[in-house]
Amino acid sequence: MSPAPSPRTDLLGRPLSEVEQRLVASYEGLKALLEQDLPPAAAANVREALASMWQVMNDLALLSDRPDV
Amino acid sequence: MPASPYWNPKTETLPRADLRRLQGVRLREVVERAWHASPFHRRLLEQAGVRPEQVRGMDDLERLPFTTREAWMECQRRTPMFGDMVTRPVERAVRYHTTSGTTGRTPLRVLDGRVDWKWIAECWCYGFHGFGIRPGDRVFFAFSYGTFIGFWGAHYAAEKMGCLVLPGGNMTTENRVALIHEMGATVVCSTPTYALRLAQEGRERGIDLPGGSVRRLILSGEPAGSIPATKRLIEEQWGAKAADTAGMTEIGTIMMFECEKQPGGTHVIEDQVIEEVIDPETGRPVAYGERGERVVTSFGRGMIPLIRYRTRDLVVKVPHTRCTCGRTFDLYDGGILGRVDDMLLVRGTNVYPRAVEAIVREYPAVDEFQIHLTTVEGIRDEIAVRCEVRPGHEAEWAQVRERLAADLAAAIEGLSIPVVEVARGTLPRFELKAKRVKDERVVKGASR
Repeated sequence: MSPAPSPRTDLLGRPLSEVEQRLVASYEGLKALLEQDLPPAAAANVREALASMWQVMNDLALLSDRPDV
Repeated sequence: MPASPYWNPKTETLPRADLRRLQGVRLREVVERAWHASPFHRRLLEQAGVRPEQVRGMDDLERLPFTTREAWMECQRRTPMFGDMVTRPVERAVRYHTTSGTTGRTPLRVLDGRVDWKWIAECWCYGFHGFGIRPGDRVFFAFSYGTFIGFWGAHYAAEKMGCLVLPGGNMTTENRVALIHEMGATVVCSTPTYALRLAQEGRERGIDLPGGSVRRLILSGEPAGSIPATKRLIEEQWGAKAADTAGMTEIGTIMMFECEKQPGGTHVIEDQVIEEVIDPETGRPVAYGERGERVVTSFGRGMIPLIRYRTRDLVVKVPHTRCTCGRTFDLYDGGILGRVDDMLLVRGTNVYPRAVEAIVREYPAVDEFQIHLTTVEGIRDEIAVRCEVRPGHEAEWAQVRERLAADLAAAIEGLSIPVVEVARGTLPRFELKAKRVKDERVVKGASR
């Protein structure tokens, strides 16, 4: 499955900068990766990475989302 | 790009109207999630007649019911071990912690998922960065690393920021001081009381802490971190700047920190929490500058949502303009001022332990102290301040004792509070939250 289309504005309705768009794409990419059948070493580290990337989404108010990792 | 004084410039400098709008968006999400996943919160919301779709923003905050520690305890009792507040299966948790239990009550048990745990560290990053801690700093944690949440989040924050973490668990005070010295720690995290204890140990061991490597102290766990006289004493004894932070197990992290400008208050991390101040009797909000009880709503902890939680902490909120750092986060003037239930009633006079400490700490001759309450002749409350005299100050003690007693009486409605010297080593020392009130009165119920 391909990642969901990324939003073009943040939670305050402001357009995302280019860097912010790339951050959102990275986050969505990690989420999509977790839908794959990954070996334990990959799954655990992708979960860790996703939990870290969520902090970026949250701090920069980019997305309303809460991954279940 | 020049180095930012802010951990998260985007939200730390948001115009207030935008910040409020962001809080509204997040409040809606938290309520929605709690409604669907936490039976405890759904019950509370249903009892208050509120559905998630009615919460559209911050204007709807006051429609939401308060959460109390008592209700949380009750839900843990009814549904052991964690209560039906928890939104996900225990198997998804990565951390278990409890409240300190220093008040003698059954501790609260909390769980955190992976995202929660990283968020807990994230909030500490706001405080560390805001007080000038940077990658390369060597951060010592004077902390026992048990189930009490303490500085756990701060430890992970320091790692995340690229600092060298020096974990000081399971060590004697002597060994901690030695490690700080040997490793050239530049930052020390501890309670205010224990910062003084470490300094005392350093003096006794001939270790020159004021002339050493430590440049910052991060204080937490007690209101004393914002008492000017206590902070001054700590800064003198360490030759370093000290900043107050405050958090609680119920949210797992800090919700306020002191920035480098040190305007006499702590910034609330308002993009991650909502902090209300209410009249503890009526539950109604109080205005800027008025003392009231903190009520917190957390945006980051997902496993255990926290919505309008009555903390019992006393605070005075002031506008962000009080500080010149550029953050738009409001402040708590003087940090945490005490607890709603801290007040001691002595012969009809209200006595706040923090007020006593603020006066006692003006006297460097006092090394440690205790507020001692007794019942005399089976009926009359008596209060005294017991003091250990700092070595080298014995000659001036008689004068200090008189002046201190006079200052206490002047500050506390003329109440006579004798100052009594006790032998060195008589009074307890504390690593975690200090308990400097020893209440041995026969009847306390009516006066506490």
